[in-house]
Amino acid sequence: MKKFILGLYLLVVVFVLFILIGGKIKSFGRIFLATQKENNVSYGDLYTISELKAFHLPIPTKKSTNKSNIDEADIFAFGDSFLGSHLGEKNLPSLLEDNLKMPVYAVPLAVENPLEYLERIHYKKGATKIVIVESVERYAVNRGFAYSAPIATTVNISSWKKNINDLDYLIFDTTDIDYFFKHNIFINPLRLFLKNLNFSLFGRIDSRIGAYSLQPPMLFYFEEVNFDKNLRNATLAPKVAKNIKFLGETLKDKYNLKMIYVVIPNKYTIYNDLDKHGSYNNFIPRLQSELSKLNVDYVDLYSRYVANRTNDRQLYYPNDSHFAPLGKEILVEELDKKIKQILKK
Amino acid sequence: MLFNSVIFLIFFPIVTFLYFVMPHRYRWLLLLLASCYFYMSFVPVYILILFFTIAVDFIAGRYIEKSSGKRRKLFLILSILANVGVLFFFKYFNFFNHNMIRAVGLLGWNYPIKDLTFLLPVGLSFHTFQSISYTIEVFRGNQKSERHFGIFALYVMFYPQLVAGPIERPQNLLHQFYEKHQFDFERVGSGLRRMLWGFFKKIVIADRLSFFVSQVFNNVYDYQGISLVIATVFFAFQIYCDFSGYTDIALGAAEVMGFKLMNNFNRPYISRSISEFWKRWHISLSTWFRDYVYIPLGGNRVIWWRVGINILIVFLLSGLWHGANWTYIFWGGLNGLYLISSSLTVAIRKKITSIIGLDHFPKIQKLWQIGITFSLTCFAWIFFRANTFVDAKYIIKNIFLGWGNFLSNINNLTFLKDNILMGKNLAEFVLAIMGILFLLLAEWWQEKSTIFTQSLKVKSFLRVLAVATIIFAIFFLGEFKNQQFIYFRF
Repeated sequence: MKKFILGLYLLVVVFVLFILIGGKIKSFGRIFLATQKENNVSYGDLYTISELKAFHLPIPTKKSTNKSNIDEADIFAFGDSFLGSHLGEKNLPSLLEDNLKMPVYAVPLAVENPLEYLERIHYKKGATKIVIVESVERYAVNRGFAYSAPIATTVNISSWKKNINDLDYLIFDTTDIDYFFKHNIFINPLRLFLKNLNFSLFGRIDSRIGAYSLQPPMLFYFEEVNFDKNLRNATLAPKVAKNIKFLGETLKDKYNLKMIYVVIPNKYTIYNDLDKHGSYNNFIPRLQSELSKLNVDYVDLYSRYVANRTNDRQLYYPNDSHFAPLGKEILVEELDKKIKQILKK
Repeated sequence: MLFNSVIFLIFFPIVTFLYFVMPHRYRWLLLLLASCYFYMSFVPVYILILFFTIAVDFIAGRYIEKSSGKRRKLFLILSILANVGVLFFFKYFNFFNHNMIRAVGLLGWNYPIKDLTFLLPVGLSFHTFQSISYTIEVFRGNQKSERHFGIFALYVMFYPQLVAGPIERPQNLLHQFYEKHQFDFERVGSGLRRMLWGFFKKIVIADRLSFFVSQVFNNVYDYQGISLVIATVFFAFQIYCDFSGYTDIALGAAEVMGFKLMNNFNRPYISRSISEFWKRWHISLSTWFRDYVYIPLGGNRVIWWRVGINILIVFLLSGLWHGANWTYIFWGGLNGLYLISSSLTVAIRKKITSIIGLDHFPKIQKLWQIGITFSLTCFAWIFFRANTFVDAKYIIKNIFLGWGNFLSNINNLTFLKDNILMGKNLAEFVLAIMGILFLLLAEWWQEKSTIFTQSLKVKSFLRVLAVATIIFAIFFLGEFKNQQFIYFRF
């Protein structure tokens, strides 16, 4: 018995060394990952979180062609992962380019405040151009407050500090080890089995999934569900609208850029009826009504999505938080109309 | 590094393996390096603060031992000032500053000193107190000063108890670093079982309860009567499972390597009085305050009103030790008042018990006493957990008066889901309740025997079955979100 326990202990030591090496040396770790990356197929960000078989639905991905740079572009697109999403269809800037036959520059996704970005790249006022400022609904409030005059900041990281940061990452960062521990070929099957068993017995699901439905299958990200709850009685819309107006005016005056604002409804906003306790706080209609009062150019995607809610084709993927081709097509259509209107003026 | 993290599951077997295969004379170095890594995985640079404390107290210990009279006292005072200074700077400066701003503002003056923006070093209060206990014990002549700097550093930063105790005394821990510990199957098994029980309490019970508690305490104005009662009771079990879970993992990890740390909890929620509760809850801190504050103040060998003041001072300091916020100080003060009033009313309570005849039914009397003690403790926990005083006031008011909505909506399922289940599904709530019941059952069994020692007598297949069930429960029912232990902030 003692020999067995000792053997077991040594096995544990070997296994934890395996996890340590697999987590830190990626070329080694990749060999032992349970799920290998498939080309041209995704299973959706919400499936990746939930890992439940019921939502394991393949989504084809399409390569995007848009490669314009800021100098040659007539349209700049600021936004979030909805801009970059290439699920089922090319990404939005590529589709716009194909549709309008005009070069579109997709600004890197990490930009929260267009004014700060333009200041940082020393953009100079020139010919009139169009700026699309996109935000998904759940981040629209925080981003709205980020649209302010840029504060001059210079970040210089000395080389020794960078070396220390690298060393810190190498020694103390455990993100890769965590990932490898959970997703290696030995642990992953057991983990998925327990997760799925938990779901089927108790309905337990990852806490980042705020709500779900099985008939039809649909997962909702917790931030969307919380956004709905938290903003039920809030009166933030006028303040956000005021900031968006400030952004539009500054872009026009300082850079000769005409802004079109787009707020993409949360999936939960459109499909909340699939959740037993679902409701909608009417944030977008409230915000759009304020934007109209302030004469801000915006795309009313919400009304179009609501009208297409019963379409045979889905607006959003069941296992992803981003829009499906129909949702994207409607946005391209609306932007096309809006841009042509502006160009006519 | 959190005990409930993947990296600890890697760290612990490797360190333990190296510990046993390494020659005895190098083991202290291994443990010291491992402890440094453990601590540095939070904020690496803060190791310097820890080494400052260690260096000051190491030198102070040597000088205290060598000197006598006023010089001896002076070195002790300098050491305590250095320790308390670090604690004040990192933990209490902003609290002090805010109160100064308010006070000076009342006088209409300007107060130019700004807040500090440092993060609080993890476990600062714990290792500072442990370090202080060393210099005091050397001063009192109960402990010889340590001559080996590495061993002394290890005494302050021994990784199992570095960030949340137990707050050890040098007499108990220092000599253990010189002892050669062999690999002992029974002891290793017992340590691992203790760790497992700690993981269960933390991951399965405390982290599940934390959702309900945070949902209510962070949005108190959305809730009334029933929700506030549930959240308060849940918090009582959350903090217990969280902290005693940590302690079990710490004690178990140390035991595996052959170290015996002091016990920190002894089933506190079966206490029959507040004074018993404080003998069973966070024992290492209670005894620290008893030995280094209460007794030097005169303890209970002074006139009755001085005893009361001594108790109050100790509990106010204990509250302040927990956090730089008036809610903690009030929590401490309230516990002090509980103790004072309980000692003042002993005779009256005995008389009432006798009049109503409760003393003829000892079991009912015991249950009654446990219930009252638990209720008083829960009431005090409200101040401990509430984000502000105003929140605490709202909670207390609505625990007593906010039942109208509940009674009129007792048939409304949506209302019940929002107010009892706090938005979670029924299974989660039932699992939370079952976790608490399982804990109480286990504690009852521990009271009757002792789970870690008595279980050795249980037939081995039953023991294996129990261990396997707990492992399965942890993986199947656990909440794996790497939630920090509550006491890490203190």
